[in-house]
Amino acid sequence: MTALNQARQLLETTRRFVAHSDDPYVISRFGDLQIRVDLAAALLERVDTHPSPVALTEAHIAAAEALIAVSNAEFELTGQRTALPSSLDDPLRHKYRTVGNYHLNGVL
Amino acid sequence: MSAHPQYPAHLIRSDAEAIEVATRLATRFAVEASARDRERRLPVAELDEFSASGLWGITVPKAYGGAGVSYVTVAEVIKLISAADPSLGQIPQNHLGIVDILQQTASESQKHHYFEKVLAGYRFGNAFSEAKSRNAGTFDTQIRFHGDTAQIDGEKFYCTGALFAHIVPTVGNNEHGQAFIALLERDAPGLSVIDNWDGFGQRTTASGGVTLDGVTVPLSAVIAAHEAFDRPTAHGPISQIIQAAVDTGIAVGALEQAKLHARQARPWIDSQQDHGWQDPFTIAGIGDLQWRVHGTEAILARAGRAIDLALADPNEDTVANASLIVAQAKVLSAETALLASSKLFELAGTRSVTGKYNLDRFWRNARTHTLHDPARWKYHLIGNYVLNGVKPARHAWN
Repeated sequence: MTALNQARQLLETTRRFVAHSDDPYVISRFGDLQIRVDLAAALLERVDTHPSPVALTEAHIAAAEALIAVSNAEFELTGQRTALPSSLDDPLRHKYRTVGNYHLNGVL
Repeated sequence: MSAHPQYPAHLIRSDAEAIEVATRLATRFAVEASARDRERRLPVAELDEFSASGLWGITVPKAYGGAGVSYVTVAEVIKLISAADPSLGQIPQNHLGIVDILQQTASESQKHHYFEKVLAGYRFGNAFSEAKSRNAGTFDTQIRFHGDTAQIDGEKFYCTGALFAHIVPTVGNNEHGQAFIALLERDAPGLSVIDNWDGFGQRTTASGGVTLDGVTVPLSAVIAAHEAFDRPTAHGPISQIIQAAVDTGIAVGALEQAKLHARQARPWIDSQQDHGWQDPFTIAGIGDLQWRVHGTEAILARAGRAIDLALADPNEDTVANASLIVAQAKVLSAETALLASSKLFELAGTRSVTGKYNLDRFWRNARTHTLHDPARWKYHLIGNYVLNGVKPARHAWN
């Protein structure tokens, strides 16, 4: 499962667990998470119309950050933590470098 | 400033032409943007060029002779201009809002009259907000109807564009608390525009005061603005997307400068590199800003598409959806503009703070303009729909 799909699914299970809240901090937490998930989805859509060689890497960063944010919120709001897939073979930290090196230095 | 434009406006006929004209103008406006900010030199000549380009008329519907462009295009135009000079990007904000509110609430003859003026190059300013009323949504300014005229009295602030406008749309409440807009001639007796905006950012927007002392207008110059919110319309999202487009433009402009100056930075001693642009942390820092700016632009375009849908088929659901996506654009543009305009210095190093570059204008502009309405309530707006199924309230800030 992609990071974006997993982020969506975790957000949905967290939302179902909480179900309803009048707490403005809990409410705005869900707003923030929805933004992170939709931001990743919008960058994934952008890949089709922007033929930049690093557009997909940018979408991957957004999805990975969204997944981490949703996972933290899952623990905070439900007391549970769903295990995330390993990313050791494709570390997030190097993706920022890939995007930066292309946009700063024109190097792929 | 007179009540009539000095130059006739070009008629823009398509979305593609609007982008092309905006790209060309932005290049020209960028040249002296820093000097205008530093000297607080009001962009009088630039505004004449801006409105004469036809860009202030692109949202006039096709049925009235305009190009009726997509709001994806409107947002792109404002973003492009704001990346060059966000004061210039902000000034048409209320003009574009008024064009829409005319479309939503004016009579047929009013639409013909005012849309023709917009296409001829007339600029609307605004006298909406009040610094002393209870909150942003309340108005102490009164409009009183006597036969076929109305009289308006009050005191306004944050009147971006009024100083440069030919027509100053002014909000007043009737005795039932309903909001009306009177479209006042810039030289109407009793209307005074005061150039007292002294904010540290958006310095050349002239967002100062307007006083209204018994200003009288014919009823043909009054529209029932409250109707734009009594029923579901795209008016709130339209007001908001322009805010988000200004801030997205600031982010784009700041990132461009970050890249330019990071390329020229000295290498840090511990990096063991020959040039600053080889620094692995600088490279990753630019990568982080870049994906955020691209993501913000992608959400801004999504918001434009949602507004187009709400305009084509206005109902509770399409308008709520447009509000929700525009709120995302608002949050992300504020966040990204503030981040990029601050990280710029970290990535470009100490030499980038020299006064001659005036690079602090990006942060000053971002900080000032993002205060228009608080982003913290946009997280709440979105979350309240996601979690509780509550649709956004309909007003000029959603």
